[in-house]
Amino acid sequence: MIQQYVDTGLVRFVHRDLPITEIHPGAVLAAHVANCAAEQGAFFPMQQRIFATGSAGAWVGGGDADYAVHLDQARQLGLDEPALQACVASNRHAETIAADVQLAIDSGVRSTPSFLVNGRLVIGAQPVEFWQSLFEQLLAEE
Amino acid sequence: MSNDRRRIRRGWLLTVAGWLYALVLVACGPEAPPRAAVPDPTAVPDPTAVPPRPTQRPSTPAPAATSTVAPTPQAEATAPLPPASIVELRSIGSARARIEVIEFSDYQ
Repeated sequence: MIQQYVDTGLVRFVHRDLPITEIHPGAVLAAHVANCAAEQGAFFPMQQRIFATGSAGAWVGGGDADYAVHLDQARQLGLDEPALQACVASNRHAETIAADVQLAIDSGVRSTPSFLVNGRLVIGAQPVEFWQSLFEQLLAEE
Repeated sequence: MSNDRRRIRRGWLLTVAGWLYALVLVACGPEAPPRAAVPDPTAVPDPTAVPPRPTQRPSTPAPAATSTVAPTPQAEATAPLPPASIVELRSIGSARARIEVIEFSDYQ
């Protein structure tokens, strides 16, 4: 999918934060950590690690133990850990996260994962065949 | 009588001096720290509510933390903004792509 559509310049993929803490209380801290990793050019590697460890239950509530897990992930990626910690402590991505949440609200998004594909709302994870079909349809429309 | 007057006068002088000393102590004493509302980085933006408007901008660089304790947010964001747009840093693919996929995720 990445090679076929992203690397060829047909599709651009953009991540936005929508921490729903009623069910994922650690999602806000994870969002701050991932955004701070992005400053070091490592958003997607960090995102993948956070996803993997979150699914495995390595982090849950957004407390000190979760933060230690995230910092360990940053070390594994070779990130500048003091810089990442300073970034998280500065809270400077709070505006970005809030803006993402507002965009979700304005777009009718109420759950994760959800997608806006050229403005069309797609709710929930979808199989590869769905995306291929949708992309081909959109490309044919233009 | 003269001694009484002197005693009364001295008493008044001591009282006035005491008040002046107290005033100097109050004026020069340590100021109580401002009780600003501290934002919580673990506070969750409520998807069902309008996010609060940001009121503070980053100013000076913050010292690097060394502990693994979840950070206590500062009243003022004190680190410089990232050099590039954070949205760009969270994107892959050409900005001129014909299809844009925005994923909303909470990392779990």
